Amino acid sequence: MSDQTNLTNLSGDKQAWPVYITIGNLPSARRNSPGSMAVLLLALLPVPPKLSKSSKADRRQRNINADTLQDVFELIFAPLQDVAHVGLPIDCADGKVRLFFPILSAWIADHMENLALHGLKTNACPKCPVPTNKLGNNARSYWAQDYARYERSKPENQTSDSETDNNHVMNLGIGQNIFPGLDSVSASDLYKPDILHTIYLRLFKHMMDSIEAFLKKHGRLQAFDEVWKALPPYPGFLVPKNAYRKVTQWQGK
Amino acid sequence: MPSKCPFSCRKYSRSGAYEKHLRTAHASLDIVLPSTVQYNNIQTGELLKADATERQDSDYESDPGPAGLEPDAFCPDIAYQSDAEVFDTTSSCAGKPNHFEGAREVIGDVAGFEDEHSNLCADPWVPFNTTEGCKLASWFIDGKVSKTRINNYFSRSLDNAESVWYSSMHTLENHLRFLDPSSQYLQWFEGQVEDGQRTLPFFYRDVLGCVRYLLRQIAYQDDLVYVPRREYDPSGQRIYAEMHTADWWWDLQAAHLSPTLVWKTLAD
Repeated sequence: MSDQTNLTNLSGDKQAWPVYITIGNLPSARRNSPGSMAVLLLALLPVPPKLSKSSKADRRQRNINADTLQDVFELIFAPLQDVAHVGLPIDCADGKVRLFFPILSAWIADHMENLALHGLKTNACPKCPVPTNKLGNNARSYWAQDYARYERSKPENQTSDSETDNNHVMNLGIGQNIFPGLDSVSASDLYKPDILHTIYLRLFKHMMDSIEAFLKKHGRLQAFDEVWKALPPYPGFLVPKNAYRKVTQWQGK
Repeated sequence: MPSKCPFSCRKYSRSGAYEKHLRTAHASLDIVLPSTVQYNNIQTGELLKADATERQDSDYESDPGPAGLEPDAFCPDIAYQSDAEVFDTTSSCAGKPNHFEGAREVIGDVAGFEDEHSNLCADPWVPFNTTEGCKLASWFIDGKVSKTRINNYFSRSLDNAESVWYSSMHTLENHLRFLDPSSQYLQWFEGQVEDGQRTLPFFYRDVLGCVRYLLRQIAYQDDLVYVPRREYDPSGQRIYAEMHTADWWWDLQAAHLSPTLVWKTLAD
């Protein structure tokens, strides 16, 4: 009955790729508060070097890297495979033993990293096989990505190009999805975007950019800054000290 | 522009101070603050308050609390909070099941758990011989004093060796290891990646070890959720809040064999 939520992020200058793990049995407020130390470092991986798309050697290197990545994660998650169906008696904090089914349930990462893990092209959706030019359309008209099927169709892909299911395979980039081999894990559900990138760095910023342009056009930027700084405090809401435009770094809170 | 507290005439310009005021001065009003929200067992205001004070401490098991006693240590004869977990604390609609039957079933007791905790209650300073030793250690750790500085502290004889009973970082580390009996779960393994050009090392932990470690932490014992639930508001609308209130867990739980069945098969 245990579930895990994993999150990864690429740290800045130091070349390391930390993978963290936590459990879904804790309520999110408890799990995510830094003081409760509920997130453990699961692995420290080396970061693959950036490669250009053009040269043939680089493309081969990309393939090798993708295969290596898959091998590494297979090694790390191998213990989960054995117990996904039979369960595992685990000691609980209240002194009782319960039977747990540890299953990988979510993977929080930024979009590019998710693509690398799922083996997709940069403009593909990790959840459903929607064609790139229809990304804004109703999401309900597409099924979830069937990664297991892609995996099966890949070898055929290489031998005879004609009879591949173009509709489905067109989104696939180099490399493989690292998850379809895991028992009880649905790979298309794993994708969980991180809030900092999706909400703030994309949606909010886009909105604020257009608002700023609008205000500038009408000469009201100064007034906006004053209102921004004068926002009243509220439990859980920090009062901004600087004008919106002067903030350079945001926290994903 | 400061915010005025609606229940008194005080004004606050910082949200932290405002929140503290609401929590302490108006505790009787039962205001739900973001920092104290507990989804599954909001029962009394007292629980909320206890939780709020507890959260200020470090919850790390190896980190002794200010009094040296683990903040969550308890005597075995006290009824466990999670045992008394009432399923009907949130309003539920008649006829609709609001928790998954058969989940969270206990299949045994952790060996030595009771002893571990009765020992802890009997002698809260273990493995330190004295109160001073424990206080000094927690001061070192809270202050993030480096190992060399700690050794330096002892070599200059700044301490009162008779009351502290240890005199090097090495002994202190041994004591700390003793305090965290689950640390065996968090061992590191090293692997090699070969990318055609270079061979690079990488490091990983046992996934199951991490899960075991987290589930074993006494600090989480009141928070751990073992069972998926369906929660409804008074009008019968489904509420989705935490992971265990959504469908994913419920469906998966239903898809798996009931824990008892599996346990019996294992026993056979």
